[in-house]
Amino acid sequence: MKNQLKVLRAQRDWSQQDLADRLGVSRQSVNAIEKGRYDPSLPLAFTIAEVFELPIEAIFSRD
Amino acid sequence: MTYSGIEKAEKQTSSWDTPGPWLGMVMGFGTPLCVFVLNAAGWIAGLAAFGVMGAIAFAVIRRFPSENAARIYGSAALARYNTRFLLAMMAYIAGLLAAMFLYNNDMPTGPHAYAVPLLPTLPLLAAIGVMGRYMVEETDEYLRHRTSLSALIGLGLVLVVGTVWGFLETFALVPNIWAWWVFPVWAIGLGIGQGLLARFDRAAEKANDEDAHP
Repeated sequence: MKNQLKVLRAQRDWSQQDLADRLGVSRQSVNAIEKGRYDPSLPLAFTIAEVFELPIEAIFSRD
Repeated sequence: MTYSGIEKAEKQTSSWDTPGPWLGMVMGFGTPLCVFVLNAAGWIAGLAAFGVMGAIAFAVIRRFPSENAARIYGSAALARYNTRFLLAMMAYIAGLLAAMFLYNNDMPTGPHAYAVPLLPTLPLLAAIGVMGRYMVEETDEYLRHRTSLSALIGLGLVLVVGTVWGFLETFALVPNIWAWWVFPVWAIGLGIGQGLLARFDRAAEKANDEDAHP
């Protein structure tokens, strides 16, 4: 899956750690998801969408 | 903050801000010293030396705030796992040395003899329990996923080594090895897996840096 995490957190001036703290996950998790090396579970994807206040499909898309 | 500022801020912490490397040094230098004391001055002095090493290890653990470890290792569960596993390994070393000492000096007979191999066995069972507890306590799904993959790599190594060695042994081409080797072989595989996956993580971070500084 592709995602817009890096762009979205840059727009908000958040570091990976800032986003990780908001999501309640590790920085490694944010890094892995951001680079497309790990697809988050549905609950975590919903949490990411809530943190960015966007629908999931605005953040994640198919390759 | 720019991308470059973000990435720099994220790399300011170091594993030396956690008890892990310091505990490793205490054990690495302390264990041979304790063994030397045990051999040179007898088992009472040896046990006292191990007691001192244990006290230093506890002081090291208390010296570092746990939130540092949680931030650096990735999660509070992982930080707890590292500390518990190191303590189990210290107990294992002490138990193994005590068992070897008893075996070489005054090995009990009859049912009491079973207590001697239990000295190193019980801490290793505790270490296995610590690993299981980590998987239960870990709330970060990526870290749990990474550990599961590493454990599967460890299992694969055990199956490969066990199968190859077993058949070589069946045809009398290699000597017999004791079954407790299963645990270290699995742990080596786990370590290789964790190392590889951590390396992939670092490579991804480096790629992030390069994206930020084209």
